[in-house]
Amino acid sequence: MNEIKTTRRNFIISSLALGGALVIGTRAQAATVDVSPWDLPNTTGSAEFTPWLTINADGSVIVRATAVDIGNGTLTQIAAYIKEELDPVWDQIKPQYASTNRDYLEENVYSGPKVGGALAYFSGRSTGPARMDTYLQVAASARERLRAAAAAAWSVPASEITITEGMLKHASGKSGGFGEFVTAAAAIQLAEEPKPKDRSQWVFLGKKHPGKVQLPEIVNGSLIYGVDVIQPNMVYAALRQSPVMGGTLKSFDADAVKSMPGVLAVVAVKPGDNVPTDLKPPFPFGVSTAQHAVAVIAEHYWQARTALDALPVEWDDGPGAQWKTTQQMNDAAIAALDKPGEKVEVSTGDFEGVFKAAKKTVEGTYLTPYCEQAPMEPLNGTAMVTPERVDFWHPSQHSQMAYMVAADETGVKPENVFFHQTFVGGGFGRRVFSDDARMVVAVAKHFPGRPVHVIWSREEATRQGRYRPLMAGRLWAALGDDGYPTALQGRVSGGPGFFVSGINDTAITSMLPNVQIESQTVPFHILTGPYRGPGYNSNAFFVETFLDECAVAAGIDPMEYRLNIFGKWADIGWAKCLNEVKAKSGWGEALPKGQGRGVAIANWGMGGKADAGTTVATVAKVEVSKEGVLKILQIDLAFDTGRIVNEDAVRTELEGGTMFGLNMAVNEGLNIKDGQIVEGNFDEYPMLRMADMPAQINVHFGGLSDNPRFNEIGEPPAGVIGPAVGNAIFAATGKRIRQMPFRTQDMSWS
Amino acid sequence: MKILRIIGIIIVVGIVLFVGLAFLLNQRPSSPFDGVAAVTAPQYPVEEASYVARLADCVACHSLPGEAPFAGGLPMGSPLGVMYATNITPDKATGIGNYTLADFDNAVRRGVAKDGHRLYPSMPYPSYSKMTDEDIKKLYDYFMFAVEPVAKPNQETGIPFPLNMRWPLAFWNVVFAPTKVYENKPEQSAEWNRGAYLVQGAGHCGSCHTERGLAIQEVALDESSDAYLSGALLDGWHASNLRGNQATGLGRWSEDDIVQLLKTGRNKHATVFGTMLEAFNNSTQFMTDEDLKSIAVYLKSLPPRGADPQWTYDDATKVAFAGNDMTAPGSSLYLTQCSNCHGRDGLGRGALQPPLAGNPTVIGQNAESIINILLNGAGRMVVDGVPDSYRMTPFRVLLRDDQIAEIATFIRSSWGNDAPAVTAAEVAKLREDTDPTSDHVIVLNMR
Amino acid sequence: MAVNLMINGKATEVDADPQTPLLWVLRDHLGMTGTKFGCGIAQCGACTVHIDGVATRSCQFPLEAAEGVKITTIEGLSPDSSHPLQKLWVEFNVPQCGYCQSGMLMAAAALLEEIPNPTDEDIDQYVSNICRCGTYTRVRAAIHKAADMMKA
Ligand code: FES
Ligand code: FES
Repeated sequence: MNEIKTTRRNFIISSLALGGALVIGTRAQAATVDVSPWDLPNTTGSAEFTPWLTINADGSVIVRATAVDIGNGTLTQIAAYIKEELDPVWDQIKPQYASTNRDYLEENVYSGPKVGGALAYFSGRSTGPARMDTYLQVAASARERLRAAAAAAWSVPASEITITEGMLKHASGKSGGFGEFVTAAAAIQLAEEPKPKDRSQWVFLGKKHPGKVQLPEIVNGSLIYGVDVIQPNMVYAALRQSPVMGGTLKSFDADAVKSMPGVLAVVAVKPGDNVPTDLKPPFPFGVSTAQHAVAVIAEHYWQARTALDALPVEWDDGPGAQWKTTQQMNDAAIAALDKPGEKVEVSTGDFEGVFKAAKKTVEGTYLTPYCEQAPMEPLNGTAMVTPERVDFWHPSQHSQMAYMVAADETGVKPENVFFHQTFVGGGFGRRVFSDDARMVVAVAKHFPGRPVHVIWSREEATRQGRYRPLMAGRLWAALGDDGYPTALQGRVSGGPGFFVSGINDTAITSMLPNVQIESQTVPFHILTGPYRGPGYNSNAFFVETFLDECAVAAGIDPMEYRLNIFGKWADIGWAKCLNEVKAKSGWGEALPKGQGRGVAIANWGMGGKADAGTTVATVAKVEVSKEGVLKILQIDLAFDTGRIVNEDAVRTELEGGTMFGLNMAVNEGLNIKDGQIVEGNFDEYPMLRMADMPAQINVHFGGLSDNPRFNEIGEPPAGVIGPAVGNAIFAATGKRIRQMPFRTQDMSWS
Repeated sequence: MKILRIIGIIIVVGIVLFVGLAFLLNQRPSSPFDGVAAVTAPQYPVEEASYVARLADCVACHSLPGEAPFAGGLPMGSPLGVMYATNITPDKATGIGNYTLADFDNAVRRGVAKDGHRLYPSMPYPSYSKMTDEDIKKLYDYFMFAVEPVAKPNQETGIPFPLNMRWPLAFWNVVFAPTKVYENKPEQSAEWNRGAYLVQGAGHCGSCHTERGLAIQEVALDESSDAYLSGALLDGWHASNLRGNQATGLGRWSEDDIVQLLKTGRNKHATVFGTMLEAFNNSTQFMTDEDLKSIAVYLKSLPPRGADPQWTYDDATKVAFAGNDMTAPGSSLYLTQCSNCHGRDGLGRGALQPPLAGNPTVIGQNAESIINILLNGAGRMVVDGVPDSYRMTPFRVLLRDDQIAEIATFIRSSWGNDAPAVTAAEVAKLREDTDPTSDHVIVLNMR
Repeated sequence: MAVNLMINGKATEVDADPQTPLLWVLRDHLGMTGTKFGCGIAQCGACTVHIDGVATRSCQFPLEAAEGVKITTIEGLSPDSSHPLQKLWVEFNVPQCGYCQSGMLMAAAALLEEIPNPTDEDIDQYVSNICRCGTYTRVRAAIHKAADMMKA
């Protein structure tokens, strides 16, 4: 494959099977997804219709995915697109991960807008319109070629040929499977590429809601996640990074553990030991920088881990150690709110003048702590590095970034780096920046020639995160005579890498005439990264708790308050969502003391614009005991993504995102002691379980606006559930919760 | 603690007023090594010298975790205030580099520093006084020639005036501290005598396992009293009863069981945890099999104290679980939180997950250790420099006081265990006392 | 040290340190990766297997205690994914990332063996596994349905 460097136009057909006669899908033929979906060349007898689609001689259809399936069903979604336009037998659609190596070699066939890639990168936005349009077009183009080939073979007009369930048929009784016509179809030139069907003609999308294609392998334990990779001759590594981020490795005593069973080597990783390339990664390489680390390599994982525990290591903590306690950092973030922000994010109208003239103002200060994504599959990866070639198996959330990081770390030519995407045991943003990918390769390159499987302990993963940033926020509103806001000022602060976009994006900053939002960075050393709904997950809490405080100050029911405000917004989805949860949640029905309902509404991805992003409105009903023990009784939510194509997939994501956000709000918060993260495992960083959940999370579909967009759904619910619960706690107890996690806040009442 | 503190004050002040034997005060005690020529080179092989330091477990108190050994600094709580272990490295300026053998002897066996100031009895010199001259010489060897000098000034105690005056301790010593080397009992075997010597002397087991009187003295220093090693509270832990009581002591343990625990940290009845974990990590695992056997022989000779109920396994709890009978309070919490490691049968899982059924600590009258370990988990056993693979989870974050009380009560009354219930208030108190984020956390208490 | 194990009805011999957690013996020494590693401290349940029929977290189960007991892993829950729970997991689209689901299935299967008709409270107690993706409501629904099916 080395010398191939062709420019492909979008739908040019190649009948060459790349790479010769390797067989795919030998395992689990009945399964929809090959259980080891590494980069594999096409099998002989197959035809590649575009880099996105190959049809095999047996009629099975390979479709290539760039958006990694982290449990959100991207593979199923693209299979559904193919089903709609090409209509193979469902089980014969074999989603596979697109090769990052090929993407590089063939000038971004999968990620370059020039050549028709779906999106300019391999991560996120799994159901975004760009991807959807690409797959529908690819499938339609293949369909028309198959029909043309059959038409030629049967000497009938192509227009008389139908395709259903993988069979081409003609009224004359002639019929045949895809496989018969693959070769001929691959040679067909169409005068014009066909248009995908109009939405009104869809028979699958929006009508059927298939479960995830990988379900059969999940339920028998055969799905291969990164941590399950086994390669011949493989060794294991256990890892420890500088306990204070940014610290350096002073020394370690390898001799103390060398003779322990199975131990093969002790290796050190240093930032800056990479071999820079001129690759242009989707994110700057800086976000994946390696921390100082030491790793023990052994024949078996437990041997490596035991030896690592026994290894004497000395660290130099560096400047991060100045942050002695969580309180000290919280105080610093809040103190930063007292000064005008260094950066003005939004400024409209005359907010100062309105505040001066205002009869009534409301102020609230809020805080959200560092949070760890904590995907259930601990960080890991397997890499075999030689001077000529890198093979890298890894549960990435951004395979393209991980691929480039591997090249950058080793200095091996990108065309000789082979990245093998595995299934992923949860991402939530943790595996996007690829610092984990870099660490794996950085360890493995010190033990060349054998595949090295690096596995983080849960404690290591938790303490060496790229966290949702610690953020403080203060909001001021001037209220008019009717009790509704006339001006808004907001200040947010946090360590490097914090995101203010949630506040800028919220409808209220776009709607009010007089707004100023400022931000300030505090020099914390803790590394941060994306976490389900970056920025938004804190800002939705700030804004929606604050709006509740405004409603209380105005003496207006919080639901009415929001309806009156957002009812005027150009995007009708907001009012629709609010009305839907108002009607379905029992809003307004009397509750006994100690119980309360709270509402919150926010939008992820709108960028301050109407008819964009995904809006979610959530009503939580809670009970708080006199001692302050919180129980969630009921959750109702309505949403507006514009339109949807798989009702059950949407429902799943809304349920999951809500639980994620609930855990974030109630439970999550990391503490710092002498610059180190304190919490290591689920005994210290608690997770909601079955017993903590209301029996039902009611997802309502009446908020959909049918606006022509299919927006994403995984992140939006995570931001609103927290403030909804916080507002419900206020309704139940009269105590206003302004800080996460709620479990550390006093909710007792009498 | 308040009452103790007041009584402590009364006693100390009382002694000062009524005895007033001023001549005692600045008298330097006499040592058999007075006048011995300065020791300029090691007299014993380093293994022999370090072995005595292991027996005496000096490192546990005189070091801070993660820092150079013997450089001091570890805070210890006492009814009078916080005090800090001192630098006992051979650094001349800040350590004991200028100590002669006689100076050293006076400090270790008589509680008097080179400059004549009296040591607080958190230094177990009442026990060390029983050590032989030869062991003291070995210990001196070790500290002078095998330990790296570390320049680290000692920290002032946090004990307020007038209680920080050390001279009254001279009277304390007159009343409470023996100054006699252990004498063999001819009617006992050599093994027994060696065990008694180790337990009472260098091993200073009584510092933790014997209760303390009003002047914080150990109420007994040898087997002549049945209070000796009958268990005591300290550091938020309850050091268990080492006497022959069937349920709560070592009555059901064989000599081999005792040896195994001290050697490997675990046996079929229990594992080391809490402060014993440190004694195991730093000291007992390094003892020779003969010495461990001697200790076992001596401990097994201590008769039970007080009433001596039996313990037998009762499978009612196991049967209840099998029949999904969750009526016993705490059983549901036990099932979700504990049974994965300790089993529904309460018998543990071999290796390092100890049984709860019949475990003396679980059955003991005092629940302090059980509450503490439920709240804060256990540290890791380190054998041959390798930390073990299993650890007890801290439930401080996951469970409320009432839930921990429920679990503690459940395990203390299941599988034939029969110990008093634990209240949420007891848990709340220990939760606060052992809160790692507070500045008044119990660190070490007088041992 | 060689230890004899009985896994999914087959006698198997492993050579590993007796203190090695059963989880790593299964995954790494025997290549049975269906049983997952999530926390290593018996908190998350991803590593749940059956020991003599009882759902047990294998990350805190030392190899030395595994001799002479019957071990069942997700690979042995049924020969062909035909356990009612496995079928319902597919039908209800329970898994998201799926990583916790071997453990969920094993915990749920043991529950149904012990309590054929579990209440919500029984499920809370016996299936205390962590799912970060938040599949709890579907897990619960599928268990109830399976109980109904198995009764019929
Ligand atoms: S890995 Fe065993 S319970 Fe989490
Ligand atoms: S399905 Fe992802 S952790 Fe449960």
